[in-house]
Amino acid sequence: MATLLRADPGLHEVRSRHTLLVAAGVEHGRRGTASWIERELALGAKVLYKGWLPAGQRPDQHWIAGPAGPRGARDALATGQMEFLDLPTVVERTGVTAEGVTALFRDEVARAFEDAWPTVALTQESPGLPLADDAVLAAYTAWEGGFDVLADEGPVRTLCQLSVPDEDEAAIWETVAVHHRDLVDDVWSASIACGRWRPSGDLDAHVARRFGAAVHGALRAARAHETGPDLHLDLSAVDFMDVACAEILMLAARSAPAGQHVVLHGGSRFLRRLFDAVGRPASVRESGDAP
Amino acid sequence: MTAGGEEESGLVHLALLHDGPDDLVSGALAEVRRAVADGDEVLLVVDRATVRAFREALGEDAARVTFPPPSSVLPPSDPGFLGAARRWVRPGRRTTVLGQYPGAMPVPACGVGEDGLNAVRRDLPLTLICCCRRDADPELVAVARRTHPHLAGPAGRVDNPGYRPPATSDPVPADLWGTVAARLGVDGTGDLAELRRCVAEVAARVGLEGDAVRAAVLAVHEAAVLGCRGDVAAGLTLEVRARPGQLFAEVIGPPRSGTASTGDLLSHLRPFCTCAAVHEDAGQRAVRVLTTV
Repeated sequence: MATLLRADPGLHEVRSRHTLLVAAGVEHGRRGTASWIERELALGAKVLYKGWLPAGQRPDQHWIAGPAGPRGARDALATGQMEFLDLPTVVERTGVTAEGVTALFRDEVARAFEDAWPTVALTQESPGLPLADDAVLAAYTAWEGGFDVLADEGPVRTLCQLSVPDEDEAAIWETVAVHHRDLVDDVWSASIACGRWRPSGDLDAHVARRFGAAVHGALRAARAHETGPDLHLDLSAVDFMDVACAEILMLAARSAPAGQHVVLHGGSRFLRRLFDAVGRPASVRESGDAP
Repeated sequence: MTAGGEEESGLVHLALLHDGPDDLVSGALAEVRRAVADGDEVLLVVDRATVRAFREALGEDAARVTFPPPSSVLPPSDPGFLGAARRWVRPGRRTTVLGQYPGAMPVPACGVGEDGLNAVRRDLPLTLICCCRRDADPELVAVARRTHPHLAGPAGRVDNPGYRPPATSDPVPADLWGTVAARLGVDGTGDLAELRRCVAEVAARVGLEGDAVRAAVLAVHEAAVLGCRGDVAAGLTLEVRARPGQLFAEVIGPPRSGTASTGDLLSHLRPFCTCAAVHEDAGQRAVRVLTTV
């Protein structure tokens, strides 16, 4: 069986970024994270890792310092290029409040720059945080927004890890929705460019629910944005979309509040044929640059 | 399926068992008159004795039907039969074709052709009346009884209790599209990307291009999604066969458990293929998809 090309975070090309890496399995997630850390270490970034550490273990016994981890991680832990903080300690220090989490990361980033590191790379494992509660969700959204602020202020790249087996459905949905601006999920990814939300790759039944979450997040963000409420959707990088994802997109557009539209940019005529086949609502419009 | 009550947008496939020209005409007349009244193009492909009997029975309506010579029409046993059936179709108009089984027709090949029509040409706006003498080879009569969803008779069209849809184990695809060009195991939705790559490669090899490839890939993908739904390990096998300009894919897996589904399971993929059909028996279930240029 040929090896499939997977969506690649490719973060080394960007000065600042806040990305979600979605992994359908533990090993898959570790491979992606290890690759990212390896690049960051090679680029000379200070890497700040937050993860789960089994009771009684030291950071150098965590998987990132083992054979499945990034090359150079063990040395980086020893030299201080990489620092490990276990998530229970994060919880203890921050109280899981938006202010607490943001302050912790801001202090760490400031300290790294004071130590003359050229860039800072933050990454944290799937938090295992139930997001069904509105208050927790609001706090989570706020501290994720804090990573965007850090990225705006300096060369800070953040990789949030989402391990699907470790989170409940509500947490997966909200995590993907909050990160719709920049996420990598197996054979598809999403980004924002020129004010347009741009999913790319293969959108199929395997990722349909998470694609739906991202669409939901993009629509929600568009409503709050100063250029909103319409969501400008760039389809030019979509290689494949199946009926499930097309239905999700059309259903989301249909159930959007009155006055909000999904404006289609780029993409193939075949995609329009698919949208028509599943039922395109009036709230989906074509832009002037449609095929 | 209910005789006379189904939508006639697709194939209506009838057998007519008869004892000779007059009996044939008697059994076919209701169906032929209905076709003439509905404005169908009507082709009665019969021997001279039966032509005479039809002319007499139809009276003035005989001028509204065509009597091509039997030598101009391929029998179901011919490998080109399905292609010929497609060529009978006229845009915006239904076609009714009545033909007689040749006495010396090879029985297995006839079964393949008739099953193939049911399997992959159900979309054609065609009423096909296949006439077989009751005193023909008993095996040929048995094929006629087995492969036609309806029977024609003096009182019109009735359901055929002897009809057996093509089983998943039938050799229809191999006989029609040759050997398997690609085979792939599909255990879940995580394998769908590889399935799409496989279908796209075969489609490109047989000359499908652009949107035809996209449609073939999407249709087969959706056929596989049906098998994956609700299953942890779907245990599906994709088999792709192809001829120039045609791609035939089967997604074979275990039969669906639980309550029977209602409605058309394949309605969402039909816009993207020439024909799609589900065949299910006690042992396995196959979703068959045909895409043509």
